[in-house]
Amino acid sequence: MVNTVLLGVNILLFILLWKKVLRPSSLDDCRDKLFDLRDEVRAYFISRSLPLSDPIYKQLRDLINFHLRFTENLSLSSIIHFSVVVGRNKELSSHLKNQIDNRFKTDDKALTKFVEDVRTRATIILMFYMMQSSLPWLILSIIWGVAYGLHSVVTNMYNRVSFNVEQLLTAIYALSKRAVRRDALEELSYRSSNGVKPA
Amino acid sequence: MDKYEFELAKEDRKIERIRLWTGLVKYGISWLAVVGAIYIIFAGLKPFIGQTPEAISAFASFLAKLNFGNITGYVLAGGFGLGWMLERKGKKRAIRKKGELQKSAENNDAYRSSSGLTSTGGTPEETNG
Repeated sequence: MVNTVLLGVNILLFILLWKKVLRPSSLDDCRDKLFDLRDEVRAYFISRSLPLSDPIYKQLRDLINFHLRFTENLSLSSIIHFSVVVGRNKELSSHLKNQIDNRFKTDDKALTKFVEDVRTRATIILMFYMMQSSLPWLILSIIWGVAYGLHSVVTNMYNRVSFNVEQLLTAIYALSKRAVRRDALEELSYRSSNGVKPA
Repeated sequence: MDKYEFELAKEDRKIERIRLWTGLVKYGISWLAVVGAIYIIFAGLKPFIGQTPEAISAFASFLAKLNFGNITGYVLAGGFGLGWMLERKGKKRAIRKKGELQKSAENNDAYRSSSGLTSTGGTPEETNG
């Protein structure tokens, strides 16, 4: 009787916790990381004495701004759907890839590497938000994380137990990368953020 | 509109439909869980309904079983929740103040495009679909 009442109360508290505490905090955390990345882009251009009028700077900043606006509307189902559509249509896929890559085209090798790194990191940040804000995905990730941790412990039982967080994050990213394409995510972000299209 | 743009525009409509349906399903599941939880609570409270001696004795037994650990747990959770709310309020204020300062510090940067978020870091209304 007491347990029945408390179970009901706890379910209500859990819904409140998920909707009003965990999801908003997770959204803020994701946006903080994107803002840090945007500041890093600015600092990089200043440190290399590259002008802030550089089109690459504008494109990178715009991409992160689109991601910032898009974050809350990020839906796992629509991204996977779009990734599948783009993946199936080779012509559309290469058109999209060329279109996005052209926005960041430069002869500066170091800058090309930096742009690639920023775009990938921005995608990872969004992917992690997607995992954190989707309850089924979060549960799957926890189960997968525990399984991965146990596997690490077992394989290292006679040596040193090395549960490497970076390895875990890389493995989760590799798993998500199969389902989500970076160009599809970027295009969806451009299209969804207030309907503003890039120049 | 080229053929790719046409193709993408078709997908936009499909994605909008997916968003609507998944939103509806999530909304439905949330309300189902809320109604289910309220039903469970009332099912647990059923023996106390009415002013019969059995109901009073059941209520007394309910109170006796609500042990110190349970109550402490809820008080602790409430305390953490209240603390989180106050911290969040402070954080929103800090975001607003920092935004103002950053804007004036980077005022000479003509290429400083905005994220378009609200002054407290929230999603703008027109994007919040």
